[in-house]
Amino acid sequence: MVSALPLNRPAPSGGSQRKVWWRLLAATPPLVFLGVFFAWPVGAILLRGLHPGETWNFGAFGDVLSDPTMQRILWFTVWESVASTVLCVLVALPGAALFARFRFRGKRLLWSALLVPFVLPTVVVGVSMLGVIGGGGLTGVNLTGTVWAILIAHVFFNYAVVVRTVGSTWSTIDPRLEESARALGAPPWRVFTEVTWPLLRSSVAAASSIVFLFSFTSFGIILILGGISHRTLEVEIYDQTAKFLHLDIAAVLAIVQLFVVVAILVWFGRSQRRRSVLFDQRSATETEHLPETARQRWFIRSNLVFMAVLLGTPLVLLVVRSFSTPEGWGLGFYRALTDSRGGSTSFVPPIDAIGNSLLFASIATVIALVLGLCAAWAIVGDGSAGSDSRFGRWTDTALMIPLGTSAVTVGFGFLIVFDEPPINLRSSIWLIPIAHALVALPFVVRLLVPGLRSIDPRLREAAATLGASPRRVWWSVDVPIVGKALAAAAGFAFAISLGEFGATAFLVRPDRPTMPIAIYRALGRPGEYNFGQAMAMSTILMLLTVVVMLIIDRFRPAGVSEF
Amino acid sequence: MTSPFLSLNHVSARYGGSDDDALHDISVGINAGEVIGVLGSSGSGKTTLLRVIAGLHATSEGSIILDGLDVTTTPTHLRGVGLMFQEHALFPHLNVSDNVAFGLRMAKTPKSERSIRVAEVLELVGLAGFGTRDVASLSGGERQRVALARTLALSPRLILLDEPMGSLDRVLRDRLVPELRELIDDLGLTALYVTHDRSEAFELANRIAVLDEGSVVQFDTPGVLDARPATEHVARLLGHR
Repeated sequence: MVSALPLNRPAPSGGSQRKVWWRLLAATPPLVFLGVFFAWPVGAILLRGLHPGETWNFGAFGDVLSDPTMQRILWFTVWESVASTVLCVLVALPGAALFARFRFRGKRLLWSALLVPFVLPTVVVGVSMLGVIGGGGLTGVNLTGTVWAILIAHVFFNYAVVVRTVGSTWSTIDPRLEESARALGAPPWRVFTEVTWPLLRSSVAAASSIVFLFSFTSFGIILILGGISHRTLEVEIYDQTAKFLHLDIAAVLAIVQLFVVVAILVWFGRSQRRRSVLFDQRSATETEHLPETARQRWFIRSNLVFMAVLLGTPLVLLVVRSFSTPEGWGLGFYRALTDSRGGSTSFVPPIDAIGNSLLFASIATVIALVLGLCAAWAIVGDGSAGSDSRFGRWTDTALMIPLGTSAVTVGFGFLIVFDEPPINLRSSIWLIPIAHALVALPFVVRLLVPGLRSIDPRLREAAATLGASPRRVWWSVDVPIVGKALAAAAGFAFAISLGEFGATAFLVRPDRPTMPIAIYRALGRPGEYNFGQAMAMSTILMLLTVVVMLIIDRFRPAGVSEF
Repeated sequence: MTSPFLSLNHVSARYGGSDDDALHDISVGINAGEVIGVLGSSGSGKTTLLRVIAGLHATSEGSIILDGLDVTTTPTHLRGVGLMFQEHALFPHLNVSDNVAFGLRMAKTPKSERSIRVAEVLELVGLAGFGTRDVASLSGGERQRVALARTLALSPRLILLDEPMGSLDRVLRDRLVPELRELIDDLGLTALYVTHDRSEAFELANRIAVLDEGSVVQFDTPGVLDARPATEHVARLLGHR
């Protein structure tokens, strides 16, 4: 008997026409959001720098760039980022090899735990570093104010980026390639330089570009550890705006920074296309093995010890010191968080900052998720052949740009655009969540797109042939699969908002501080109790972030980028 | 009686985390110029045996003597043993001739000599003129030949083949096995050929070692093996009954 199932499939031509419309419609909210809250503020900065009065004036560039102080700052920013990146890659490569090649107890847990420093707010990173290499810290050596403090903190912060990005690529390389090279007479180091490295290079470049960008736009870490002599462009932009009110100079610096960042991203995209080698990827479970020799066991052990020292010590010490008050062990610092003393009318008890942070993070998460879902859907289309179009790629690229833009630039841009009509958000509580959503959006899209892509179009077709309407298909096929990615993205957006410091520093109102701001303020006040409060607050923020991060890792869909 | 070219004396090996031997007390002698088939079902330890001989896996007991020298602890790259995998493991970032030249480059062979030798072996496996091709553009059979050429370029004194036809279809295999046989005869190679395919082993090998659960259960010529299988398992593996 011939099946009499009603197949209400739209006519091919009309259908694809309609699909394009839906994708345009889906892309509209995120693109409008980017236009209003990214392009406009950044454009305003450009205008402020290049067109200060009535005429175009490129002379401001010459003035700022020929200033020896500015030259020194620019030079320091560049070399500090290069040094951080190189150091981080060198230090993290053995860790990547460990995860790529060996099976050991607690591997999965450690893989997740590595992310803790990376998702930590930079302010907390700075504070926990103070506990180790600050005056009176564990090592007894005071490195604050030296470039070493900055480099160590950047390595601490970015270690997971390199280990996880490079490690996951490394785990897909067939060990038999390396074994073939050995059988062909290559000693171990040449196996690495001739076979492993060429195949890893593009993932090392990917990780490096991220570490470079984070180091180049480093703000919180530099503020806390850099002292007065070491300043990045990011810090200078902040100071010129917030301290000296030299908006024109800040604008020029922001433009220079934006230029460098975009140049790096473009260069990276190009070199990536040129250099990447396609190879048959193995699954990670196929390439890992238990240690066989004493040397391999030693390699695993020394790697684990190194990770414990580099990543574990500062965090453990932070928690321990938050309980170590001048009166002995106790909750003194935590209790002090609820005090409203401070002698200033604008002072609010630090505990209020927790509520503010949670509120802002919730709003930011909702905004980022809604926009991210629209964007991801526009990028992916229905997953059928040919739907991965140029339109999708452009939307994708446009959404990645804020990733490379410094948070301080975003905050600065908001400051000059939204404190006057037509949009005056200066006193609204929306400004901070919007800025956070903007920072989180690229990450959210990065997490959602693979989730959507992982939906086999045949599943949809199967559902359709069983008589499901398009809406039913979406509800019964897409939603359950994307749900996981959505949960992971929500976690990431929440964690990013909790820890955001650069943009918030511009936009925060004195009576509504977020946790990172409260920590930074406490650090700036003299006295053991204020420092202790910073420790206590950092511990709370760390715990919040870790909880959120554990949720992310539980729901992380397979095949998603590694940070 | 001359001592064999390769001898394994009471060799055992195990994998980390396991208390059971992956190879158990294996003693075999192989003469120069012999082609030995290693036959066994999956998990019988055939691949481990090759890995141990190549030095990619350590022995837990016993010794390996190659050409009169004890190589039990010699690292792989100094053993001078050629090795070819089922998936061919061609270097994806190098073209055909750079793949073939890899071993020569490691041996610091001068460039001019290298290109002559590369052309020679590519000719030998029937891929003359393929030098500049990208390995990703090759068919399965061509990849297999490149892998063979890469192994042969160094003229190894012993070659180990781990199911080299395993990833090819039947038709291609039927064409390539006789070719390989001819090549082995022409070059007078000493080889160990791992397979789970009875006909391949019979067509190529002078003698066949049958492995079961890490032990050699029978080591004989194909004729004897066929006529008098030592155990039920061997008989079943050979397709009797």
